Order: sequence, then structure tokens, then C-alpha cells
Amino acid sequence: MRKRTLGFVALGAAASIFLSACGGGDTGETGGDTAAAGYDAGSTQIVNPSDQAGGTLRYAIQSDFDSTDPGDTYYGFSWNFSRYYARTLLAFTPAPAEASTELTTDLAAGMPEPNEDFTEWTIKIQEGLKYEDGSEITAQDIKYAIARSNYNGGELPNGPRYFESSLDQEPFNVYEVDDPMATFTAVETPDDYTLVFHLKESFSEFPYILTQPQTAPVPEEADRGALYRENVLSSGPYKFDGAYEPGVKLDLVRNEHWDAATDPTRPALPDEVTVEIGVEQNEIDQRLVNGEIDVDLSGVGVGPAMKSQMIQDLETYENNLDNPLSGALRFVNIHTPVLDTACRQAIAYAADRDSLHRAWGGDTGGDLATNLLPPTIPGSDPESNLYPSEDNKGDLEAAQAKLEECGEPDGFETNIAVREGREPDIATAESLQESLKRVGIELEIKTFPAEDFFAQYAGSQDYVRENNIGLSVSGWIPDWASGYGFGYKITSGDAIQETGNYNTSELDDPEVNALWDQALTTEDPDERADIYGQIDTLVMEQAAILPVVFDRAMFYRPDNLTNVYYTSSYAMYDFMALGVDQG
Amino acid sequence: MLNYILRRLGAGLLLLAVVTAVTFWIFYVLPKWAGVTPRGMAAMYVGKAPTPEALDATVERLGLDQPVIVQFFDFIRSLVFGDQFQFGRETVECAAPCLGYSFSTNSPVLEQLLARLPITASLAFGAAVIWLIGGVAVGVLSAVKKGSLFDRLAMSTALVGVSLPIYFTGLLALAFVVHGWKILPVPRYEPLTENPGAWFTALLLPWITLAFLHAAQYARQTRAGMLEVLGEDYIRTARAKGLSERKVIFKHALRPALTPILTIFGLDLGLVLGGAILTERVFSLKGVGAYAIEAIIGKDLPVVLGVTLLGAVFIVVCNLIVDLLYPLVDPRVRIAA
Amino acid sequence: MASTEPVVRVDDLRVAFPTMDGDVQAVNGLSFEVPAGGALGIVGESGSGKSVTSLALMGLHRGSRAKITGAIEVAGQNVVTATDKQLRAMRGNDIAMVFQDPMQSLHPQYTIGNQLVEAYRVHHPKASKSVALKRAVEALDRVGIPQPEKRINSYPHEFSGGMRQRVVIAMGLMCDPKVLLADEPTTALDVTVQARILDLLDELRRDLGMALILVSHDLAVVAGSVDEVVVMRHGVAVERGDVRTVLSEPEHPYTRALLAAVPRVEVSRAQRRAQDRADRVEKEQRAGTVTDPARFEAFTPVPTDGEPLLQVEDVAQRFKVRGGAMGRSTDFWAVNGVSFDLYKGETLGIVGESGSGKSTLSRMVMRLLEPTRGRVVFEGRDITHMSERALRPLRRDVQMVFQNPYSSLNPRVTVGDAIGTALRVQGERDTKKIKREVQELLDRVGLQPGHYNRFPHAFSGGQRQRIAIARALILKPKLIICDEPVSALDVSTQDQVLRLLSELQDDFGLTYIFVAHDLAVVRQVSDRVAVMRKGEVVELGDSDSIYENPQSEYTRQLLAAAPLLDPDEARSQRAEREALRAQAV
Repeated sequence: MRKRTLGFVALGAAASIFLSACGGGDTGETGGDTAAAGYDAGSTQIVNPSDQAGGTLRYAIQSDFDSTDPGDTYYGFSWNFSRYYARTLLAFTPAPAEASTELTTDLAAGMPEPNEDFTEWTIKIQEGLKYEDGSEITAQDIKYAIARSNYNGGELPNGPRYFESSLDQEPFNVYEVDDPMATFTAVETPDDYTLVFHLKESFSEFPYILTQPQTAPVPEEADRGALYRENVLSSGPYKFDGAYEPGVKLDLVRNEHWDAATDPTRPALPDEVTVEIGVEQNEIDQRLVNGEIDVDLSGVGVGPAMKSQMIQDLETYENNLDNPLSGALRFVNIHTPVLDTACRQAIAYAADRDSLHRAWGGDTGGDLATNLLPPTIPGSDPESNLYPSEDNKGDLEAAQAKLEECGEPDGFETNIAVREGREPDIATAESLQESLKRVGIELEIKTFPAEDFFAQYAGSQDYVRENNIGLSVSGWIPDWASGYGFGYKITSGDAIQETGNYNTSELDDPEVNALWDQALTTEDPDERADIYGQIDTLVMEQAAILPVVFDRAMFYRPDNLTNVYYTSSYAMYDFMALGVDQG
Repeated sequence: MLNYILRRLGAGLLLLAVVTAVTFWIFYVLPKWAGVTPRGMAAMYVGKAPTPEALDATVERLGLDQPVIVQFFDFIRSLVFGDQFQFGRETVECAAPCLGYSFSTNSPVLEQLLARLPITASLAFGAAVIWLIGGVAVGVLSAVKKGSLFDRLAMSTALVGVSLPIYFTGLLALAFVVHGWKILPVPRYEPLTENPGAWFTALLLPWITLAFLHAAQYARQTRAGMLEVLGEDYIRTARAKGLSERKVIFKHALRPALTPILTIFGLDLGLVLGGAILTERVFSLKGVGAYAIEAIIGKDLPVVLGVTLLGAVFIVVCNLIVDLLYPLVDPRVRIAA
Repeated sequence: MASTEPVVRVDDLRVAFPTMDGDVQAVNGLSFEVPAGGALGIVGESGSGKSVTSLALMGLHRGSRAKITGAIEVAGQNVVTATDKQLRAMRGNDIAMVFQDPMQSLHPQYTIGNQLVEAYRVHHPKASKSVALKRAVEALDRVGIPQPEKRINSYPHEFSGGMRQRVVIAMGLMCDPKVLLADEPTTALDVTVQARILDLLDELRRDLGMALILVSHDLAVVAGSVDEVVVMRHGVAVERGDVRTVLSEPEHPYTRALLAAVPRVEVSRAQRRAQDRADRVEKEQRAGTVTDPARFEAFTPVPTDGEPLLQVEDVAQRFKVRGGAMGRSTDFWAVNGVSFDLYKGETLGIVGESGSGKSTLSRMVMRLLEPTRGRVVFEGRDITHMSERALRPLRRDVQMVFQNPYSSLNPRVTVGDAIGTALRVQGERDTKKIKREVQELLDRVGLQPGHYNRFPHAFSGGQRQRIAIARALILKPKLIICDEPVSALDVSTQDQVLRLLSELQDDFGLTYIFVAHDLAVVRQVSDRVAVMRKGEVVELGDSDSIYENPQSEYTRQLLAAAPLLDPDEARSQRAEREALRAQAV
């Protein structure tokens, strides 16, 4: 889960007045189609296609990078942006919408080869690739980069730890051991262009991990620990122009040693890329509309003030707006340790989904969700609905029957946890409170500080049990767009943690767990998608998760921006493709 | 005199120590009372979904499991004697006064503060000039023309000015002047020494916005002060000498009316120099205040401490300067040396 | 010296201030003239319109809402019709003004040199700064500021009150004005200083040929300094004429009453008392009630046998004064070694100038301050270091009446409550009883019992002082300490309050300590008098012998400075003072 969207989308989305016809996503056309600007065109097509190089592409953002160091970052925009100066082993296909979720090569010469049980992966990189200083990129540098980003004793705390959890490696600290390369045995480099990964367990989706910025090469001698972020040694088409100034700016210029021929995923159109950090959100939106900047780096769309202005004055802005699915699911966890299955199902029946949808801002806020996996993910069936009701208003009779089954015919009392200050989350809880009251289920809404929500409250096993927290409002966006990338951490019994628990409903279903194991040993993506679909259905049957919406973001697409399209893999515009029209 | 300054500086240092201790207490002891464990504290500095091992590593690296008093004296020690920080295999010296390293931006706090100070100082001094001159001028005119249309208009505007928050006036100013009528270019701060024009245009709106709030207050105070002074016997004496009204007002009435304003001005300037948080935020100026707000949101304790200390230093210094100036302005006041 | 052409002419002057209830006539048809080099006194009590008149002479009502009709001519300039510019050219140049409070009338933030030079250069813009400075030094020298070249760079706060008033006068002299207008120039000053300032004004007038207009509430102040006097009341001149004539043969009853009310230093305690009692008997006979004159005898001072009510032995009070090197404090002895006995039914007057320690002494007797040294014995009990708790029952036996009747009453408490509170504090629960007692007392001090529910602002200064006295009396105290009880009051009111105190002493057998700076007042109410100076008693004895045969040099100085009502005596006394000073130099 990248930090990006957790509840950040559409803070002020009182947007139900937005025309439902503008809901988008129904053009049905995907792939390499191109189109002139139009409402939601960028969600599915390339808008303003161009190969015109030159100019300056201007980004701005309110809050800072977590880090510009590819080995120390977990923000979605940062992953997307770091590709300017950090090439990774694999990449996502540069194409609009779902087509972007397919993998392709970047540094690699070909796709990785697994062994039979998916515990060993071998990959080769292209020869003759160079850093900005002209020195050659080697497999050892990639190995070192993975080592430093996963085994650093807290020096680089921000990034995810997928390698650490999947590699068959004793823990160590790259900055403390004498010879990190020798200590790091789980990755072998038989020669300068080959990497062999040894995993603890079968992991069919391991190639997705290889798209992450942690695989961008870092020569051991260039590593300065946490200070490396100031001036990252570039392997991509751009390099730092002077040091990154935290909270102030980051400027990039062309890296002459980058060879376009080795890199099919980056057109690298602009001559310069600038990022202004610390610009107030309203100001960013104003400048975007006035053409004074080109892209909001945060990739979460316009702020609430501008959004409501745009919705009110739709005719003016219509052709510059995209309203794609963000890839995130908003949902309510129904906690298994607190509530029995039938009681959970009663909640699923009684919930007024229409009202929940409106709580999330209606059609511009997102699409009403009745299943687990977002439509952008293979295996998803948005049509499936295990708890149907007329107009989605809830099936009270079925709910009553389930209540009797779980021994609470008169309903029960429990608490619902929400994050402080998140209006849509609170609105969701209130809506649920209203609709469950109809069958005698009394919810009390408890708000908790957002930053400690998972660490101490809803994500703490003890807290949930001791305080009768039966439900919690949550949100989830995948690290990569697959069923595993999306669903493992929130539904697998193996992912349950004592604190900081994201499988907050603590679903530990043998059938679900077995299916996850099976998926990790299945090579064919289509077969895997099928398994993910089964998991989806099982989770719905268990009523451990009550899906609310697949949310949508509202992006403003300036006219002078070329090659604009929305990619599902990063859930924002594909930064690598962007260019500026110079007249 | 020197004695007095030394004594005041000593008191200032004591104040700084207290401010540091209180800030420390707020950010370290209060969360502990609220049940936040060292791991919970560490979670603020690492990415989402960290493993317990990563949390423990961070706890150890930052010394979060040490007793608060130890952490506090570590801070004081590095402030006085400097400190060293380990990055990867690199050791970085942080010379005294070392305010520590920001955990989340991994840069020395002092360096960041000094880099941002020119912006805040430009904002503060420019705005101070405007609000002082504007506020006093309006206040004097209002007092002299008490009850006139100007007076009533100015005072109701001042009332509005005092009660309107900066994020409202600032956003309004931006929306109209920059984005609507395009009178001013989009403000992009440049140092005065490099591009005075850009420096001026980038700061003009922030100056006016910040000054408006203060000017309103100064106008009201000046008016009240003037009205009081104009009722004094020595003003009657001045008139009885045959002095012109202009001289009576500007020589005899203004000086005593401004004397109490000097005190407020010193305090206000000190406060703004410590970071005009809202103004910097609204106008996307990367000054000390913007740094502070990021740090508070990110719970970046060394930065919060650093900004708080810097602000306290400014207030102490500005107050000292005011107190030293006071006897020059009002000879009745003697510094008890 | 007087020439025929008047330098100031006021004809049918009317000044009105518009209020919500219509215009208030502050001055209503006033006329007078002052010849060049002449001297006019304008005398009146508060509200008589005398200050309004002096401001009108300077044209200082410009810009206010005052409506002025009639004619004011100063040095040939019509003040009423003059343009602002003409008026400014006149102010300070033709007519200079000296104000009441020298502490307030100089700008605190500029040196006196700056202010003097400014006064000159505004009318002589071409004059160089050095010329103006030279003139300023001369003017300061002229008014008797020592070392004027040095003192010219000092700030007003570095001068005493008397010296400041000299600076203000020097400022008035800068442009050789034809008229000097002095509005209550000595009211805020001690008697000896007052005498010197009046002497100075007189001398300047004679030497420089200026006309002098002296405005005062005190007939005795103007008596020795002016040729002509105007007595004002309610905006109208009730009497106008030669000062000797007016003072010796006043025509108007108001002037007579005023003259009668002025306390005279030559009148003894016994005379005054006899007069007061006779007046009382006469008044009561008119009213039909009878008080047996013999009753008074019961309370005339008991000879000095028996136990004294109060014994004060060698008391001293030290204050720490901050300042000095390293912020160390130095000791200041406000009172140092004062002893006296006070017997029941007796009045002890304590007289002294500001800073003499008389107020500190009375606060020690009240035990509002704890003496640093010495003993205070009340009714045989040593109360010097008694705890606040132990003192509480004693508090009802000793009461105090303060100087300022405006600030000593809480404006938000009705007078009935203000007086009755003390009873409640002492434990009285019966509210009806309290009300009855308070109303009796109100009646006794000359107020209506129906005033019970009124608030202090509804009363005049004299009435408020009566309320304060009633408040002191309610607990039937054995000793009342009056600290300058009449110094803020007009003479006629002052006289009434003094009479009241005297009557109360007769009726209740009260014992007073009467603290004041006014020698005449102290003499008339005191059986014995202590003269204080710099924390010490310089002379203590029965009042007649002190006033008629002063032993100490300081007492003689004080007596010589006391203003006299007889113009001729005042002049001879002035000559005496000048001779004394000449000797000293």
C-alpha cells in the first residue's frame, strides 16, 4: 500500500450534484488510442500525443517527497517520478489505463525466469548501460541497491520491505558488516549482467517487486546512506541539477549518458524538469488552471476548493478534466474477533450502499462497490454482489434472518472506528450507523488520530478486543495492480499483525489462505486472476470486508501538456510520457 | 549598562532553556502519557506498514528508548558542544550550536533554518515597515479627525482587518491580484541579492497581507494613544506656545503616543521573525514558518525544537533591543544598571 | 505703572458647551480689563468658569464644541474672530500661559532646552539656534534655576515640582509677552514653594512690565499679587474691584461667605471652636432644636493626667529603594524617630510639606505599615508588631478618612452599603438595624437619610467626604485619622467639613489625628501640633504657642510662606521673605 491515497482523495467531495452521465469509464476503449482533449479523455486515451522534445516541464507539490532516494521511498508519486533518474529492472507498460499494469523490461534484457516452484528467479540486464558520470551499470550495483534499501538498520526507513520479507536471507546491516556484498547471499551475481534471487517461499508475482525503485542501481562507493537523497547518481534520462533542497525544490536536466535506444519506456521529451515544493494546494490548482505550472506532482487530483469550483462551472473546465478510478477501494472492516460470521453478514445485508455511495461524493467520488477487487485489477468482477437489495438500499429481511442466526435477534451494540478529520470516512460511518439502526444494530462512532489509527487503535489486536471495536473505516490502494498486490495484506491470515495490522478484520480463513499460497505458485497471470476472483468471493461470503466505493480522482489536464494519459499502475498520469507543447 | 545587557541575556538564556524543556515535554512526555511506545514514536519516522524490526532499528538509531531526561540532555549537549551524525558509513560533523538533524528530511536543522531565514526576514521586515507606517499614519489621521467619515471608515476596516484570518485575505489577494487580474506575476521568491525585482514582486502581496492584519491593530492602538496624549496638559502647553497644529501633532503628540507601540512592535517583529506560519503557507514561501508547519505535521521533533528556539531567540533579542531603545525614546525610563 | 490702554479687554464674554440637555453656560456675561503692566486676580470655586475664561483668553477653545460670544481682545487682537494663524502668532508671543500642574504641563520626552527654544523659534523663525539657546539660558536664570547652562539639557522629570513651574514660567517669558496668564499656578505645590512662585511672578511683573492675570480658587493666593480682583460664581462675576476694597469691604454676600470660609492662620483653635459652637447654637435655635452649650464642656480636652489613648515611641519606617550600582537597594527612612502621646478627646495636628513623612506616620499608627523601629501603644496595648488577626478587633477603634473623596468610594456600591459594610464585617446580621443606623448617621453628617440607595457619583466632593466620614463613624471608633481630608475641596466646602468634624468631636468625644499641609487649617482644628520635615518632628507643642512663637527655623519659614488675606500684610510678608532670601544669599 503506497501512502498516497489513504483517505486523502476528495476531502470535500460534496459532489453528488455532479452529472452522473459524466461518470466516465464507459467509453470502453483502451490501449493506444489517442484523442483530442475532452472530458475524461486522459483516463483511457493518450491526449495531445506528440514527440516534440524540449522545454521545461514544471511540477509543483504541497508536501515534500518522503525521499528522493529510490531506495528509501514509498510515496506513489515518488515512485512514478523517480523513474526520471532511476531505472529499475522491470517497468510497467507505458499505456493508458489497465494496459499499463502489464510488465515490461527496463534495465533488464528480458523478463525474469523462475525455477519450478517460483523460489528462484534469474534476470539479465542490458550491457553497456551507463550512469550520469559515464561509468557502467552492473548487476552488482543493483544487488547493492537492494541490500541497502532493505537491510539498513533504520538508516533508510521509508521504503517497503518486500525483498526483506521474500528473500532467503539472514538479517544484517549493510552499513555495519565488513563486506555487505558477500554477506548478502540471497542475491547472486554470477557475472556483471546477471542477478539470481533466492526466495524463502514460492512467489509467482515476484517480477512486480522488480519494478520497484529499490532495484535502481546504486554503486556501493556512491552510497552516502540517508544523505544519498541529496544527489542521486542517475541511471535515467535526467540527472539532478544541483542538490535536492528538502521542502524547496528539485531540478532535473538531461543526462547525456542515457541512451534512448536501451529504454523503450521513456520518451524523455522535456529538456528540463523542475519541482517546486511547498506550494499551497489552492495555489497549485490556480497555477495549473492558469498554465503557470504543468503537473501537480502529488498525483491525487485537484484540491477540494478547486474541485467544487470546477463542478459548479463544468462547462469551462470540462475538456480539461479526467475522472479516472484511482485503483483504491474504500471499505469498512468488520472485525472477526468481535462479531460472528452471521452477525457480519447481517451488517452486509442491512447496509444502505446507496447512502454509503453518496457519503463518498456519489459518482464523481467513485463507483459503488459490491466486491473486493477494484475493476482495474485482473480477476475483478464488479458485477458480483452477494448481498443484493432493491436500489442498493439494503435487504432488511435477510439481515434480520442473519441476526437471528447469530443469536442476536434484537440486534446488538458495537463501535465503529474512524480516522479523525477525514470527512468522507466519518460520513461513511454515519451512513452506516443510520442504516444499521433499522435492524437494531447500534453503532457508536469513535474517532482516532489518523497517524496512529493502525499502530494503536483499529490496527491493534488488543485495543480492538478490549474496546469492542466491531468495525473500522479504511481504504486501500495496491502496491501493484494485481490481486496479490491489492488483497494479500488485507485478507491473508499470514498478514495479521499484533499492531500496525492492516488485515484489520483479522480474517484468517483456511480456504482464503490456501488460495493465496496457490496463487504464489501459479505462473500464468490469467490463472492467477481466476484465483483472485475466488478469493474476492470468499471474502465477501465471510463478510469480513464491506466494500463502499472504488474511488475516483479529479485531475486537471492543462492544454499545453502533451502525451497525457492516466496509468493504473501508478494511479496517476504517466510522468515519463509527459511533454510540453511549446506553441 | 553592559551589566544590564549581560543580565538580560542571562535571563534570555534561562527562558530559552525553559522553552526547550517545555517543547521537549510536549513532544516526548505527553505522547508517552498518552500511551505511545518508543515503537509508536519510531513509526512517525518510517514509511507505512513497517516491520517491527524496522521500527526497533529506528528506535535504537534515534535513541527513542532512552529516558526523556537523557534525550533532553543529549540535545542540550549537542547544542553546546556540537555533535556527530552517522550516515551510512559516513560521519558528519555538526558544529555547535547543533540543533540536531531532522529525521524526516535528513538535513541539519540549523542549516535549514539559516537557509530559510532570509525569506522569513524579508517577509517580516518588509511587512513590519508597511504595517508600522500604514498603521500609525491611519491611526494618527483617525485620532486627529476623530468622528469623521475617514475615522469611522478606517476603524471599521481595522476591525475587519483584525478579525479576518490571513488564509482568507491571502487567498483572496492571490485569487484576484495574481490569478484573476494578473496584476502581479505568480510569486516566486528570489533572494534580494540575486533578483531584487522578483524579490519585491514575490513578497509584495505577502507583505501587504501580513501587514494588513497588524496595521489594523496598530491603527487602533495609535488612535487610542493619540487621543489620550492629545488630552494631556503638555499638548495644551504646546498649543499655548503658538505652535502649529502639525507641529503639535507630529512633534508633541506622536512621540508619546508611539512609545507604548514600540514595545508591541518589538514583540510582534520577534514573533513574525520566528516564522509567519500562515502567511508563508498561503503564499508558498519556504520560510521558517513553513518549515515549522511541516515539522509539526510530520512530528519532526528536532525541527520543532529548532524553530521554537529560534522564535524564542528572536523574541528575547527584540525585547532586549526595545528595552535598550526605550530610555532613548522616553527619558523618564532609566535602565536599572 | 498702569497705562490707560488695556492690554486685555473682555466684554460680555459668554461660553456655552452644548450637551444632551441643552447648552451649559460656563461663562455668562463676563467683562474685565487689564491695563498694560497691571495685575488681575480671577477667583472662584470649582465650576465658577474661571478656567474656561483663561482658556478662552488663549483661544484654546478652538476646535472644541464650545460656543463663544462676546469680545476678547489681547494686545489689540480680537481672539474670537482671529484666524487660526493670527491666533498662533498671538499665543506665546503676546500672551503666555502658566498652568496648574507643572508635573503634567511639560513634555516628558524633550529636554527643557528643546521646549524653550521651540517656544522662541516659533515666533522668531529666523533666529538662529544659538540665539534661541542663549535666550533660554537667560530665561531660566531669570526665574531662578541654578546653573541654567547645565540644566537646560535636563528633562522635566529631573526637576522638582517648584522648579518645573519655574521652567514653565521661563518658557512663557521667552518671547517677552505682554501678558502672563497663570491658571492656578501654585495649587499643586507646597506652601513654601507656592510662596516662592508667587514672589517670582510678582517680581517678573514689576521688572518686565508684564500684565499678570492670576487665576485661583484661593483668595489668599491672589491677595498679595494683584491690583484688581474678579470674584466669579456660576460663570458670572459677582464682584469686581480693587483688591483691597473687595477683601476688606466685600459687597456681595458670596464674597463675604467666601472670605469667611478661608481658614486664617491667625485664628486660634479656641477662637474657631467658640465661633463654631456659637454658630451651631444659633442655627439650632433657628431650627428649634436646642443643644446645651454646657454639653460641649464635657468633651473639651482633658488635662494630661491619666492614661493616653495612643502612645507613639520613637517609631521609624524604612523603605528599600531600588537602584544604585548592581541593582542594590538603598535604605530610605520615611519616618525616623517620632514620638508623641495622644489623649482622649484631643486633636493632634501633623503638618508638613510633601515628603515630610506625615502620611507614613499616620499609616503606621493605623498599623497599615509595621514600624521598622519603635513602639505604638493603643489603650495600653502594644500593637507595634501585632498580627493582622489580633489587630482585627482594634480596626474598629481606629478609622481613617482619606484625601480624595472621589477615589476612596467604590462607584458601584451604594452609599448605604459603603457605610454599612463595616457593620456587616464586624458580624452584624440584622439588615434593618444596619439600615437604621446608617440612615441616622447620614442625617448626622448632613445628608438626607433618603440618600441611602444612591451611588457615589450622585454626590459632590464635599458630600462624598461626608459619606467617608460617616463610614469612619459607623463603628464608633475611639480614634479617627484624617489624612488631608479637606485639601481637595473648595474653601466653602472645606469650611463645612471642618465644622462637621468639630461638631462630631463635641458630640461623640472623638479623638483626631489631623494630617494636612495647610497651616491655617491645622491650627484651627488642633489642640497640639507636630511639624514634620524629612521624617522627623521638628517641633511639637500646643498649637497656639507654635503658631505664635515658633521655635524652629523651619516652622518660621512655613509660617512666613502662608498666604495672607490682607493685601498689605501679604506684601510686607513678601518683603520679609525677600529680605530673608537676600540674607541667605
